[in-house]
Amino acid sequence: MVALIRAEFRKLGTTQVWFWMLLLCLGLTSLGVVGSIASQRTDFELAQHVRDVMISASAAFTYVPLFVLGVLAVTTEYRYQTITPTVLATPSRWALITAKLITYAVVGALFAVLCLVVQLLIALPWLSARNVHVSLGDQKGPLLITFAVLTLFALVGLGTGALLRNQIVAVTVGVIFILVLARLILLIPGVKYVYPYTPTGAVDSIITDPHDTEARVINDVHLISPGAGIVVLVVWGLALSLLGAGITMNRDIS
Amino acid sequence: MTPPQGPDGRIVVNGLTKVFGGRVRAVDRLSFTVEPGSVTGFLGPNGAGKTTTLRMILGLIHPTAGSSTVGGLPYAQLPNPMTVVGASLEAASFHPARTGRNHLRILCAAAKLPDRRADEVLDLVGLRDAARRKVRGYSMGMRQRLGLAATLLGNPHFLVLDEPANGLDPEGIRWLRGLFRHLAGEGRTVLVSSHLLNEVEEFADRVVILNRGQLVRQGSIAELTAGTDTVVVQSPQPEPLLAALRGAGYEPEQVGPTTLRLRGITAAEVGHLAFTAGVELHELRAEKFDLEELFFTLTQGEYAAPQAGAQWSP
Repeated sequence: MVALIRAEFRKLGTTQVWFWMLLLCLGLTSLGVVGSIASQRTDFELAQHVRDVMISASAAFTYVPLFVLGVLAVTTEYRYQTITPTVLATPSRWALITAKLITYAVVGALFAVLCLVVQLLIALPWLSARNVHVSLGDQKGPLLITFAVLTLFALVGLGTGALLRNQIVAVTVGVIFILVLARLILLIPGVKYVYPYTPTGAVDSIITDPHDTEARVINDVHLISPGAGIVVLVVWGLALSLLGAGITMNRDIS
Repeated sequence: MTPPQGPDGRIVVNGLTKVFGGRVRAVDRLSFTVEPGSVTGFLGPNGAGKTTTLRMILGLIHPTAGSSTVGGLPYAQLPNPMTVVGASLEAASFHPARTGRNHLRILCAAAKLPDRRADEVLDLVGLRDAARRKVRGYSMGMRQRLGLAATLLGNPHFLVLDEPANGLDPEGIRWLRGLFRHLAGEGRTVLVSSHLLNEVEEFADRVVILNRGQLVRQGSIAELTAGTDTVVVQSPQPEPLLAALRGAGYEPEQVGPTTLRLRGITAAEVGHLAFTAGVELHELRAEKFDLEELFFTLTQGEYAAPQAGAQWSP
């Protein structure tokens, strides 16, 4: 398994996709932090919204590039037919998907840490300049949930890519679902209650302030707890990956 | 070199069948054996089912029926398969933005091989200078060489190659022939598919001929062409020549008013008989019944090119 994980890291490291996706993540994080601080006119208001600043990296759709990076982990293999040498070296699709899951969990975590570092590098001096003093110890919760959302979305992307295999379809359907379709569910009576169990709803459940009871109800739909939201993202990532390995990736490679 | 897997280092295909979409029978109850220490040419026209068969042997396509083993085991059950089987398939399976060297280093990592193997095989296939260039800048021939380099990474006993000469220049084809002979000489089992019959004749010891998904013939080239060489003789006096040949125990086939064809006799023997009978000859030549002719005979000529001008016939 160590050998397969090393091969996966090499696959990622030997093209430039990771670099552009990282740049996009860091750019979105920066925009998110700047927006969350600049939108608070007074220092008092800013002090009331420190949590929003500390979850900027996850609230600013930074998870979308990580989702795409995860999708590309599998679909690029089919697009360029490198899946043939990959499967010749590793006939077991289960071993292959496990190696990819572990690799992209680590990659997602590294991206998340870098996003958090950029977020703090921008936020802390700025908050300090506006007389808002923040103790990182008090902000562990928001930082950890941001870390979890970014890391897990790479796995949700990986699973989506494994299940759909086609790069254009997986990226398009995945991104449109996350950004648009999942939220439209909230408008459909009866069905709208599944929203918190979609990846988008899980993110909302994770990042919305647990003490803000008003914000945790969207169109009569109660969000699930942040912990349950994390479990939902884990289940999405694993379930899609395993379905992909067992069904679509197991199909003939011709 | 990895020792042969199983009792004899053979590739055994047993009743392989593949039906696509419940309708298209691409491969039909195909059985053959590939022996170690030889190069086996896997022949058939385009669409005969060669690539599908190779992909079934390599575990990439699930057979509808039948099975195949490499050294006694199905491909999927081979431990670290790249060190047992080197396979290069027709499609160019490279990420265009990756260098040739990095493509191989990824495979080295997956197969637990030292990274220096990537440089060694790049040297072997003559790609050292292009090793750090992205594959998108490679010619078709260079991609073929990179594919071959990948097959050699694990120093495998078995080699399964699909149309490896495609895109190679004459020098590359000559090099490839030498490589195959060298590998077979080391006792390895080499299976090479091709639709270029003359090419296969140059490097293969044995052939498996496939047509419409079914086995047409398998065996050594010597076996398949044994007794098929003929002598063609033309004379303005066919009757006395016919009599002389029949007198010597041969039964010529009359292929024209003045032309005869004989089997089981050399041109020199025909010339001697004609001389002793005082018969004038206008033509005397040996005709080698080559693989191409054998192939067209076995496939009833359905893949032969139309005769010149035929397409203009009303």
